[in-house]
Amino acid sequence: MQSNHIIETRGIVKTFGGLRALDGVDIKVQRGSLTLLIGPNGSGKTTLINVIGGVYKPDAGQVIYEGEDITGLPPHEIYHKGIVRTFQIPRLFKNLIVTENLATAKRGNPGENVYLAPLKSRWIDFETKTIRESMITELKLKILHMWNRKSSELSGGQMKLVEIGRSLMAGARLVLMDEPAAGVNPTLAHQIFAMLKEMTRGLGITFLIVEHRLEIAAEYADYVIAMARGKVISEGKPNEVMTDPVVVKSYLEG
Amino acid sequence: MPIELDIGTLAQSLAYFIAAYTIVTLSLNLEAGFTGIPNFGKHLFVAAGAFVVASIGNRLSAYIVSVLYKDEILKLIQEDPLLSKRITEADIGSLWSMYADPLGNRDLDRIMDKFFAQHPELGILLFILILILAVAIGGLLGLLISYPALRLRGEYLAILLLAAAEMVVMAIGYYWKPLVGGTTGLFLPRYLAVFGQKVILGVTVLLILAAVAMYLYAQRIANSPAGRMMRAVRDDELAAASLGKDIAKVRRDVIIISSAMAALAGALIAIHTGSVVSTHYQRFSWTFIPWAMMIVGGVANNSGVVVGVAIIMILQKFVDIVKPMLAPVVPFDPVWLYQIGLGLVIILMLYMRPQGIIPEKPSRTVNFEEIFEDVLEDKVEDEQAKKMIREGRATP
Amino acid sequence: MVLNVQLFLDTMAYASVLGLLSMSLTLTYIVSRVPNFAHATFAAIGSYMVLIVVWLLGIYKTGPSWGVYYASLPLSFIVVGAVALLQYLIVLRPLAKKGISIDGLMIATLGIDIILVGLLNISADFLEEIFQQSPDKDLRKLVTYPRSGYLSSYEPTIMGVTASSILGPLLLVVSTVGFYLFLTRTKFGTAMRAAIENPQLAETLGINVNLVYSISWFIAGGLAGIAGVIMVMTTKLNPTMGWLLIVSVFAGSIVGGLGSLFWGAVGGLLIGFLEQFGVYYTQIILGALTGETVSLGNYRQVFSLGAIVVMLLVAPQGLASLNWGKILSRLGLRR
Ligand SMILES: Nc1ncnc2c1ncn2[C@@H]1O[C@H](COP(=O)(O)OP(=O)(O)OP(=O)(O)O)[C@@H](O)[C@H]1O
Ligand SMILES: [Mg+2]
Repeated sequence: MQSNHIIETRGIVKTFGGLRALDGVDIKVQRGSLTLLIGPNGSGKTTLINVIGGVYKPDAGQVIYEGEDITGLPPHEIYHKGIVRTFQIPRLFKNLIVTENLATAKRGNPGENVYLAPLKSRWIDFETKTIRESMITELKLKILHMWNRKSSELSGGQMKLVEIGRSLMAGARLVLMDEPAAGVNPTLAHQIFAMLKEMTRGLGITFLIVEHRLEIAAEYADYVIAMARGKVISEGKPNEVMTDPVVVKSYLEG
Repeated sequence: MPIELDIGTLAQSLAYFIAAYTIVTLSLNLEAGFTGIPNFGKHLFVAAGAFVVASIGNRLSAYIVSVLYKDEILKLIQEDPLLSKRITEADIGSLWSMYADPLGNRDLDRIMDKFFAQHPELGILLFILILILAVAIGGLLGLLISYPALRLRGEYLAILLLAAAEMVVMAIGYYWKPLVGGTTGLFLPRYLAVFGQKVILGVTVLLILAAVAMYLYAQRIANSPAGRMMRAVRDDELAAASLGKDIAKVRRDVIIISSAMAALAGALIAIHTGSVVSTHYQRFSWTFIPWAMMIVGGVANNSGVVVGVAIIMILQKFVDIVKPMLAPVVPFDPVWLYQIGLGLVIILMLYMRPQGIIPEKPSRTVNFEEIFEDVLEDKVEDEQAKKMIREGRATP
Repeated sequence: MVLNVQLFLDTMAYASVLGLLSMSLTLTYIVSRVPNFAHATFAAIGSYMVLIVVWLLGIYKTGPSWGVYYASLPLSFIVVGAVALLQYLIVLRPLAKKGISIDGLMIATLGIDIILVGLLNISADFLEEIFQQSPDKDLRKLVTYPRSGYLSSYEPTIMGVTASSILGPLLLVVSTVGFYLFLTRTKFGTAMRAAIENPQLAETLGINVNLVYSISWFIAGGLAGIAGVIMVMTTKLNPTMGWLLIVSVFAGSIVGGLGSLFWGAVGGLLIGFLEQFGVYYTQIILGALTGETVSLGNYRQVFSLGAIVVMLLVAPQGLASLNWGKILSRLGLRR
């Protein structure tokens, strides 16, 4: 019944004033794949993530997730559909400690009902598991030693890791990441991509990742989509796309 | 001139103010401190509780008494030399409206007090009922206000709330007699005649109990996943929404709970005072001072709130004590110095220590340290690495 | 009666006070991005300047005189301008530099409001003391206990019309046009616009942004001060006279969109008319329905609150953001 594609965009157009940031974008992402979204600066990658994530309503076009039209839904409903996203410039909860940042992303915490929150027995078990899971995720991302630091005190690279951690805590089927490895050291970046790759296989999670650092990311990618000036200009296997003259040219121009 | 201090009265009055302000400031802190909703119209919600007691409570109690105890109340009226001429048996049916009217309120109040002295159990019942009503209507008012509030951000919301509060309290409450008697206000029945002569002490104790309960309640929220979520929403709405938090719902729920809390305080304050006049619920007393207390004590920290409340209330009592000494010396009312001092305190505090005396702490939902140790035990083999992580150092 | 001339004249004075206040509030908002909750109390300080003038120039003895305006307008402009400047330099700028959030800045302006009202109360007590101790009978009558009084009896009339009804609109027009010319025709005005629109860029162009902001605050305070001079002719003098008025002032600024001085002035004017005529016609309608005399003057702020709510929900950017060309052509007023 279902297609192999977990998400699909059809003819997405998004303009800012006179600028067409997205100019008829059609992409399809294979379920359980690690798909890279590449393109020079200003080509519209972040805008596409924002449209899928519900931050912007597109001027035209549709976003189809698991066969359902989710165009224009607000961000929290998109999350509840099973999609989570990270931000290119980290947006952490700055007065919350690292572990709290991760725990906040957990889906379905019964303790988040403001009226019933004082009834601790309703949520204590779930919460204990959540905190434990948060710390295990921190360990994988090598930030467990900072578990109780206020997140505003972290370095840029560490903030990126917390962003990634939050998206992994969300228990989403589709994870959109906007340049997760920017500012992260190459060894750790490799480990993280290996971990994501592992999750596609083990848990069937799909990753759509905006990433400039192809020298790191390419070897883990199943598929690559290249954008330029608001359009998809090339897509396919990593080495096909990376050697595609159109893509090379766009990067030289961009 | 020696100052005479009645320590008992002073302590009692201090306890009353600290308890009342603790409830209001805790509720402000849930909104402003934890969730980032700048409620500059807090006095509206405190006033709401008091207005319910005077407006609905007076009518309701007079109505119930006139229906259930018609003969008794008629007898009390006929025994009263003044009222016996003005009120006849035929008027008993409109006792309820008379009691909420400044013209009839004062005289009838004598009668009502006598009546409740004879029927303390009915007084207690009505007290509980009216308290529940005040809390419910406070919450409903919060729900009502939340509709525009959800669509507004920051300064616009602050302006709207302040404007609504000023209008309801200073214009409608002050001039529209049917609400709470206009400029003269209304006396309330002595619902708690059960305390006899010690009624003020009794209500003070009830207020203290309520403040303790509200503190424990606020602490439970603060240290729950919901408290964490509120702080997350405050810090970054878009990030919180992208992680599935329904910002509008969170803000609405918090406004409703906080408004109900403030109304509870307002109702108890009214019953403690024994009367309601809208001017008691001004911006200075019930919006500005709670904000000052929160900023001094600790933003998003309930214990900080209690500290802030205590500091500012003790300061105020101190001013009350030195006032009579200062009054002959300066050519103005020394109370203005207190106002100016508070204004300065808030600005200096923002400048020197904006997080307050006791800063925000993580929401302690569970024992983090214990889970941390567990995870280290289970997932990290290398003893050296364990040690480094414990000490907050990155492992290679 | 469809139109009431006296009501119209009274409204002119009140509405232009709101116009001046909403415009100057908008100016401080544009510059500092914080709604100044003390702004209406600025006007109250201006009103007290009139009391001082009436006292010191002996006008309380001689009766209505133009001296009230000659002396109060410049005095209020300078004194209140200085107060506003100090608020900016001593409180808001240092706090903003420390990165205090907008909520913190707002509560700081509320704190300033409390301080200013406290100082006004002290001054009022002090003046009252002086007046009451005086052997001069007229002076003893100048202020009625507690801390309040009416000054409208000292203002002159022009052909039977109270001066404030004419002077108010005149001052509003002059300051709006003056501002427009200043911002568009003078070098300093251009620099000011640049500094407000893009502070970083202006800084690199060598514009002293801080000076521009300071001057803006001074002018805004000064305008609030002269608004206070007109205001006291329409209402009772009292240190807290700004507390309810601030609702109307914010309403005017929000209707104007908090982004343009011209629209701020228009917003204030509109609110003034809305309140006065809203009250007037509601009274007539309710009177006809109930058969009794209804007096709603004390509830005029209800209309302001309504305007705030409607505006924020319908067009949060204010009248300034509406496409007037389109609206006019829809209405058939323009092709
Ligand atoms: N909110 C906005 N308002 C106006 N223009 C915008 C906005 N967001 C993006 N743009 C513009 O849209 C275009 C696409 O931007 P986008 O951020 O999507 O690019 P990108 O591919 O993510 O680039 P980068 O690699 O630098 O992150 C750019 O020209 C950008 O300036
Ligand atoms: Mg980008």
